Amino acid sequence: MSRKGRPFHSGQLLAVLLAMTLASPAYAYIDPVTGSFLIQGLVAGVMAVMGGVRSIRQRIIGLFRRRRDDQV
Amino acid sequence: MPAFQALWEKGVHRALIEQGLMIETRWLAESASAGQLLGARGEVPGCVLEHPRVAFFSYPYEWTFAQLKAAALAHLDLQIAALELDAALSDATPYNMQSVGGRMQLIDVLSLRPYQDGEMWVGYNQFCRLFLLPLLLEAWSGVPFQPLLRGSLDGMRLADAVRMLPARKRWLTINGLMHVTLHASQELSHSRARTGKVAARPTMPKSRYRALLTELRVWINALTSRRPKTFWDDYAVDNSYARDDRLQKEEFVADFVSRGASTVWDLGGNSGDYSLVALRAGARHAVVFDSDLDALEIAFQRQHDHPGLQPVVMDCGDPSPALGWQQRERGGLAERVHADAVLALALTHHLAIGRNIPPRSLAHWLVSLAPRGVVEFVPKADPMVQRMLAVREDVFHDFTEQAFLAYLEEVAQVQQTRRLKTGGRLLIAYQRHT
Repeated sequence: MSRKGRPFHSGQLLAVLLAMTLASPAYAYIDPVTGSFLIQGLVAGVMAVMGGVRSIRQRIIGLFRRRRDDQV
Repeated sequence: MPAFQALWEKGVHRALIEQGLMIETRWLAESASAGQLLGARGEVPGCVLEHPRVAFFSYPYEWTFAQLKAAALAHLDLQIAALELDAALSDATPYNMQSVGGRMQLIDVLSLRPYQDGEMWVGYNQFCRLFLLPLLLEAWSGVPFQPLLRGSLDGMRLADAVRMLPARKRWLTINGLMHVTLHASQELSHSRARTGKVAARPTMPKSRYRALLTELRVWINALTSRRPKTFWDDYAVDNSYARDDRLQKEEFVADFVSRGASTVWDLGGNSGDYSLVALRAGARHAVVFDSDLDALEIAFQRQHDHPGLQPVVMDCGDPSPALGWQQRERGGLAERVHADAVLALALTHHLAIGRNIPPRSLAHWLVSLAPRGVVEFVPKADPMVQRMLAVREDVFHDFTEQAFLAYLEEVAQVQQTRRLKTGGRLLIAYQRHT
């Protein structure tokens, strides 16, 4: 694949790194829901970052739109 | 009960009901009848709540992609709205969502409880197994989820889902990586662990809880089905019916329904053409049963303008069975029979010839579903039947109009018949023997 191929999104790269560096400590749980519980904090953290990025992006888009509307 | 009362007095339920996210609920605190009601084992109720009757209980394995998606979005909307009011749900199951007046609403009002500061989303895993993974299976892999959900009331296991979903989507999208790949790996590693310390109960701030819900909502809202188009989708346009026949059928159905049928079951109803005729003729609720997913997606779109229309994914030759603990948790079709009338138009040949259902059994089954009905008998001379018989031996000796009428009359009285102009089909209106 050439360097000009599909670019890796920086957020995706960060998430892959996070996934690779996560250790799996041995807890005494056998209930699958518990596993979900422990990963949920991380997932929710990433979601909060995504939500923040989305909100900033929408604000910037909104700013440009407003300017364009003003020009019209 | 104290938790419910606290939220009730705070107006949380009322707010969610007014937003259309929860089923209408009245607390019959002062009602005289409330004091006379007892539980299954004679328990005296702490409170008695009254809801409008749900016209037809359907389950996630009977929903199309768009229906499950609508239920998921409604569920997340409810959770987001509840969190703003300092309330949370104790679970996240689509079985608690039902179509009420054409809108997906939470019916388990007791699953709402006060939000504890720092608590995590207890229903996250359940949401993924029962809402998210089935939607992804159709959106990413193009595979219908209904058989898998019917196979397990707990939904899809994450470990199984990762084998069915494309690796590109699971690894190269943040949502896929987080909610599917990472989630599955954690679930698996913890289910394998046998020894070790018990971790302290983890916590997370409310802002993260909200972000988890809102980002899932954004993602799910953008999902679309990649399932290949189904055969019967073009049926309504490209079939052997003459226009005259269709008009005659519509007139016959409208006349039949106008004589009194509030709830109509339209078996093999495709995209709900005759259900709409029934609704226009005075029926309040029409349930369209079909196994064709694309046809039902059209019916679901029509529900927007016709809230009385309810699509249900069901193969009439293999209706939903009773499932769950003691086979009493989720009723089969037979346990949910309550229609005033059934319509079985252009269905007999599909079941009798396509599925080898004996005509007598078929006639008796139709009559068992409702006290009245309209059935269309499609003879062997019909081009559709000829096409079905072209590739197989005709062993259907009693699939004749005369025999079918005789079988029907064993359990019902034939009230009216009409011969369609083309194809020799016969419309039969009947009334069950009392």
